[in-house]
Amino acid sequence: MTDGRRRIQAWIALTAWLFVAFSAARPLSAEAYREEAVKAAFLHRFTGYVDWPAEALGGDAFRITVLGAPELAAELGRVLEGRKVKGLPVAIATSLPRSGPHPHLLYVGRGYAGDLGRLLAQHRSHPMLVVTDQPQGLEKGGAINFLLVDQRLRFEVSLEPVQAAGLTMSSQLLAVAVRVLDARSGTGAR
Amino acid sequence: MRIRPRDLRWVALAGFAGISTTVAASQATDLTALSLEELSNLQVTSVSKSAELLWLAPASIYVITHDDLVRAGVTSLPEALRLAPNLQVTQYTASNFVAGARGFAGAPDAQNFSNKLLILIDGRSVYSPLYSGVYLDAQDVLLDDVERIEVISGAGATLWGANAMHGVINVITRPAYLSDGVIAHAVVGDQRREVAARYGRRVGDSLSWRAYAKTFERDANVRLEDAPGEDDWHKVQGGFRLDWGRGDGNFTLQGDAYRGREDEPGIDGPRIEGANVLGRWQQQGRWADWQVQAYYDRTRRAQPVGGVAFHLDTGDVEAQARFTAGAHRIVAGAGLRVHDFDITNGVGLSFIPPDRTLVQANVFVQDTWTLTTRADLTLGIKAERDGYGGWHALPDARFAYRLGAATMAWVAASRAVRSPTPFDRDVVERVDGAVFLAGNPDFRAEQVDAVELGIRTQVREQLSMSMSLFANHYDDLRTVELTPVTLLPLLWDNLMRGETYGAEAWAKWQVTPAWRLSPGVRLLQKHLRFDAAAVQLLDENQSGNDPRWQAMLQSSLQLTRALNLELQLRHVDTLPSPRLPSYQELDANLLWRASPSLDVALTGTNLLDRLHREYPPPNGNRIRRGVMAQLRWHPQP
Repeated sequence: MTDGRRRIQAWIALTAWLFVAFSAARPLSAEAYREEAVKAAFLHRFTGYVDWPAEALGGDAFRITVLGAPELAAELGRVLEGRKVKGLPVAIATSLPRSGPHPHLLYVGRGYAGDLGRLLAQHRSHPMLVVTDQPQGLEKGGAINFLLVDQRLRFEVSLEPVQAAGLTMSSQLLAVAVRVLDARSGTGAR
Repeated sequence: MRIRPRDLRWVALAGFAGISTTVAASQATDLTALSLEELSNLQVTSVSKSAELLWLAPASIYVITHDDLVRAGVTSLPEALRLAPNLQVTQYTASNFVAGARGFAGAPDAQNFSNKLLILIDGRSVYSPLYSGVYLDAQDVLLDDVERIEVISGAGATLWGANAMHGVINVITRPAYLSDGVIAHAVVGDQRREVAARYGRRVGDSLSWRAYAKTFERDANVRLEDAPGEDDWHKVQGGFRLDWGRGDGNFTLQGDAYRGREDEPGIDGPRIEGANVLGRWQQQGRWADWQVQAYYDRTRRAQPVGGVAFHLDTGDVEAQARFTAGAHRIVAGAGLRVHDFDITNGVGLSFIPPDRTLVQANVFVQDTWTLTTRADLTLGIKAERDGYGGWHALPDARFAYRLGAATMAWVAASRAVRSPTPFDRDVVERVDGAVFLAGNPDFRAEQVDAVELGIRTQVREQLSMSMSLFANHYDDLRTVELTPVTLLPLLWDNLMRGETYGAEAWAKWQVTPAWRLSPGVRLLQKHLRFDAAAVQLLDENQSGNDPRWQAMLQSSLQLTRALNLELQLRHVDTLPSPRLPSYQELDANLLWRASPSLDVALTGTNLLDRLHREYPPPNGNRIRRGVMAQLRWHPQP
């Protein structure tokens, strides 16, 4: 066998190993996750700890609207593809419908440009869970607001909009929140 | 290298072992299976919060993340900037790096510098008002504490002011509460030695601080053939940052101090030293978010023995407010900057007068109007007074249209200027006692009218792309002219104009979960012409000796869970005048995360050639191939 052929064999072997190794290895930053991926998992989890009135779930889809966060909308589409929420297939939109049924879950991200307080005031009594990622998201009417604490994604809860929307929220969810705004006093309970 | 057939069995075994760990890994990373508590405890990459906002920005933005810096193994700010495909970074000597965007990145033979790009470090402008441009040798940060570097190419004068003609680089360090504990970093290579240490801690709920110190020395390169380049240098730097937060407001206080010595062929090079301190208050109010910032920066650069010495003190205060009114997002602000300089004139280079106080002031307003859920229109204008009393209007208009959730297109039109400096107006250069070149008191600002068309899209989860096309019209570009009749001294004037056209494009392609390829390319066509009065002593390239194109390919490959191989190949086309042939170079970094608290890296720079040049002599030395080992220890606090 000539040296040239050996060298070719060695290269083939090396290439094969590299190919197998890199197609198999997991990303280096295994301990750090993309914020969108974690948020999408949170939103999916939240739906398990919140109950909507039965009549609100009568349609043909569980509707989620994502405002001001196109990357999260895309991520949710991927995560929830083929899954059911509250027994319904999921439909994701990136704008609020001008007419017709309201979304069950409204997410308003940092990229939302409008007046959040006014938007939420208009939709206050609809059976809609409002999750925000905004400074003072709860003060502006959100039920759950994401916070980035110590490079970890945490959330805070305001009970008043939950009740106004006719939703019920499990205490297990409240137990994990970093802050819970009470319905009556409006003060931090934790 | 010899591999016998029986070795191939080990290759196959290694492969299978890899596959079995993948299956386990992919189950573990299905986040939807995690509980709320588990999700709350995951560390998230916080860049995406800003990335989300940047994704919506109608401009050509490339973000170098903290992770990118670690994986590439870069140890200095100019080398970090090489990771951005929309920048042109040229190394002249060991200490002299120049960054440019969209051309005009300097022609030192014609005493023209890369003066159309702004660099800000945590909101502090490091652009020198004396000669226009950035002394990158004086600017450094502890890269271990950098959160991200945003590179915005294209005119950005409305928000960032004069001299942001071709772009802005924002170096953003982490808040102190994200840098808890110790980092010790050592670099040992054939041409550089470097140590850095940082300590940070929290005090109670609301206060955190960190402090760092670093020092390095770099060996000389090679000049002509094998003559020593004598461009060795060393530097010491230290600094701190303190963050204090209370409810809706937070306060940052930070500062740095540095001192360095550089050498140049045949002469002792400059001694540099400086210090800065910056305070910033950010407040989220009921109606508006406020920010007030002030900084003081002192810098000194002295050529020993009869050389020129610059002393510059800068004070800056600025305030801005952001608020939303209906469909309008408005940001408005004002700033005042005072440069007080004192130059010890040298034999060859002097300034008349040698000391001045330059006062710059600006007010601006920008409105982003949400027309529909898909379309935004941004209109803004800044009025800025330059240090010599001239006022400039710097308007900008941008229209952004989102085609679906993952694609955005924009068009923009802007005007920006490069304001006159003492080097344009007051300089006197002598050769053998006779005045050879003189500043021109009538020198005006260089001006650009820029239009841009861009698109950014996430094609699939694994593939994202960004592309922008630009056309710039320039007026009043600086030229060197003759004095009528006597010919000498040479004079600066504004007798060139013209157009440039270009494109920038880059992509990130996650080929497999463990392998990412990131290609990038820049194209530039310049059509410059002289006014009738110009004597054309030097050709059009006096405004910038730029390559017509440049390309790069980054490969980030995960060899095993703890081992990452980063390769960066770049091609830079021929420089026209003075001519330098095109070149290719390769940087590589093998990073081994030996334990959660220890990283070991083997880094190679400019691997393809023992010596290569990025700029023709006499200004550019032959840069040597470099190899170094890095150790980074960061025990979990």
